[in-house]
Amino acid sequence: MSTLGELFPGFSEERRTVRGVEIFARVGGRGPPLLMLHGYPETHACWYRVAPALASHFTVVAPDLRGYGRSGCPSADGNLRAYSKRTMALDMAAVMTAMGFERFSVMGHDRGARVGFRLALDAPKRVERLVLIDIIATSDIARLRTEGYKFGMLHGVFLSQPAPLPESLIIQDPRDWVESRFRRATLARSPDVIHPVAMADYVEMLSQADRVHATCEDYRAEHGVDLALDLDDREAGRRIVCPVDLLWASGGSLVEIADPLAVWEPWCAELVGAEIESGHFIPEENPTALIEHALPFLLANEA
Amino acid sequence: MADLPDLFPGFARHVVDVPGAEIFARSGGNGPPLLLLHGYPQTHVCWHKVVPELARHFTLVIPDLRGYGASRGTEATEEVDPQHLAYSKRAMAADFVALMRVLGHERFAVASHDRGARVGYRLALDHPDSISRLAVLDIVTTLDAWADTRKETVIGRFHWSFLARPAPFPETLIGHDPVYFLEYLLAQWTASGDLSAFDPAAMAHYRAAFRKPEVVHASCEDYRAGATSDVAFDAADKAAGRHIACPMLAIWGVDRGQGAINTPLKAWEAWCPHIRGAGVESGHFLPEEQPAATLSHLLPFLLAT
Repeated sequence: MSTLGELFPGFSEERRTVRGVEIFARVGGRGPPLLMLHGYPETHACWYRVAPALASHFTVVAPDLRGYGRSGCPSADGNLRAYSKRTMALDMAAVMTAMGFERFSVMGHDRGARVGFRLALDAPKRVERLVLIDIIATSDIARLRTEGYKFGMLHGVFLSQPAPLPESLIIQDPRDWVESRFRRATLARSPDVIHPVAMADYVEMLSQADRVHATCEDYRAEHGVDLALDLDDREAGRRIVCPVDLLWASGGSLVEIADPLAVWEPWCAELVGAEIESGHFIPEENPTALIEHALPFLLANEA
Repeated sequence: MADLPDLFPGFARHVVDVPGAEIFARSGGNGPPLLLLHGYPQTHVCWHKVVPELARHFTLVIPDLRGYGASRGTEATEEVDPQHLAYSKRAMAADFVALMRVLGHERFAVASHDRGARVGYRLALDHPDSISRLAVLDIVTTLDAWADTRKETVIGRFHWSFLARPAPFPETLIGHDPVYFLEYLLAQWTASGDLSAFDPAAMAHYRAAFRKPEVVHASCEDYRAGATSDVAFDAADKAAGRHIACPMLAIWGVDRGQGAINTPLKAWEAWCPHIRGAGVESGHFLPEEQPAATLSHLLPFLLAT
C-alpha cells in the first residue's frame, strides 16, 4: 500500500505553529496560492485527486484543521470558542501569513467550507476567490428546518450533543463510524469509493479519543457560537465581497432546495454555481467535474 | 414506506444518524418524554392503539429498533462480531439515549414490549441517570429465559434457538415465505390464536418490513445477540449484584403470554426488588390485543411521580 505522501507527488510536509497550535499542511505546486480545507470525518487527504491536478496552476496549501489529522488538538475544556469556525479561520489565515501568502483563494468542503465562509467574512482583504462545496450556511439550515426542510437529521445533531455521549459511542468502533459516513452520503452508498490510504488516515484520526472529542467540539461550536456569528452577520447585512462559486452534489442535501443559489445569494456580492453529479464527498467521488467547474472560476483573474 | 398507511397522523418523522445505526422514529403528543419500544416480529406501529391516549399525557417518541422497520443497523458478520454486539441490547440502548438526546430529552420514561423490553431493562441498567420509569410488557430477562429449560418453554420459544443459528440458515428458510413465518408467529402468540387482534394497517407495516431481507437478517442478529452478548451482559450484572433502580412495572399476558408459563413478577424481583406488576387477560401482544387494559396499567404507573 502506498503512503499518503505518495498520493501528493512533489508536495512537501509543512508544520507551522500559529496561535499556540501546530498546523500541519501539505504544500506543493506553482502559481498563486490556493488554500484547500477538508471536512468531516476527513483530513487534508481528501484532496488527493484534486490537489495534484491543481498544483500545475496554483501553489496549493492543504492543511488539517485544528483537531483534525496531524494538526494540534488543543483541549476545548469548556471553551466554546476553541473549535469555532472563527477560531479555525484565524488559524488558517495565520498559517498562510506564516507561509508568506497575504492574499489567496480558498476551496473548502463540508467543515472546511464553513471555515472558508467564515474566513471570507472575517478577513475579506485576504480572500481572492472562494469555492464552497456542498454546504448551506448554518443559520440557513436552522431557518429552513423551521420551514419544513429536513436535510435528513444528519450526524451534526448527534455530534453536537453534550460530551461524552457522542464520543463514547464513536470510539467503540471508529472504523464503522467512519465507513458509515461514506455509506450514508456517497452516490455509490459505499466507503469503497475512498482511496484505502485516505480511509486509513480518517480511521486513524477517529481512533484517537482527543480527536474524537475535538471533532465533536467542532459541531458543538456550530450549533452555538458559529450560529450566533452567522445570525449577527446576516442581521448586519455583512456579505462575502469576493466572488463565490457554490458547487453542490446531485446526491447531497442541497438538492432538497429548489434553488440552492437563491439561498446563498443574500450572503454573496458575486455568486456562481453548479450542481455536480456526485454524493456529498465531491473531491473524492467526482474530482474531474469539480476541477472542470472550479478551475475556470479560480483562474478568472489570470485571464 | 411512503405508501404505507400512517398510523400516527400529525406525528413528526425523524431519521437520526447515530453510531452503528440510522434510527427512524415518530414523535408527537404533549407532556414529559416517553419512549415506546416495540418487539419481534413487529415495528413501531404496534403502539398505535394506545398512542392517542398516551399522547394526551406524554411527548411520545416511537422508534423502530435498529435493523427493524425503517431503522437500519450495521452490517456485521460472524467473523468480525462473533458476540453480535452490533445487535446487542446494549448497543440498541445506546441508540435510544442518543436519539432522545438529539430530540431534546435528557431523562425519559420507557414503555417497552418483547425485544424492545429487553432494550428497556438494558437502558435502566446501563443508563440509570437517563431513565425515570420503566414498564416492560410480557418478558423476563434474557438470562432467566435461557435458564428455563422446561419442555413447554423450550418448544414455545423455538424461535430463540432457530433465529440464533448462524446466518444464512434461518434467513434462507424465512426468506422463502417471510409473510407466512411472520403471520404464523403473530397468530401463535395471541390469545385468539389468529390475526384478528391486528389492525389491517398495522399488518401492512409488519408484512412490508418482513419482506425486506435486511430486516429478516437484522432480526436474526437481534436473537443471535440474545444468545451471546445479551445473556453475557445479564450474567455480568447479576454477578455484580446490579439492580434496576428506577420505578418499574411488569405486565404480562396470562393467555399464551409469559403468564401462561411463568411467574414473571417473581423472576423480576431478583432484578428490581421494588417492582410492581400484574397479569392481563391477553396474549403476548398486549398493546394490540388489549389496549384498554394495557393503558389501565401503564397510565397510573407512568403518571405517578
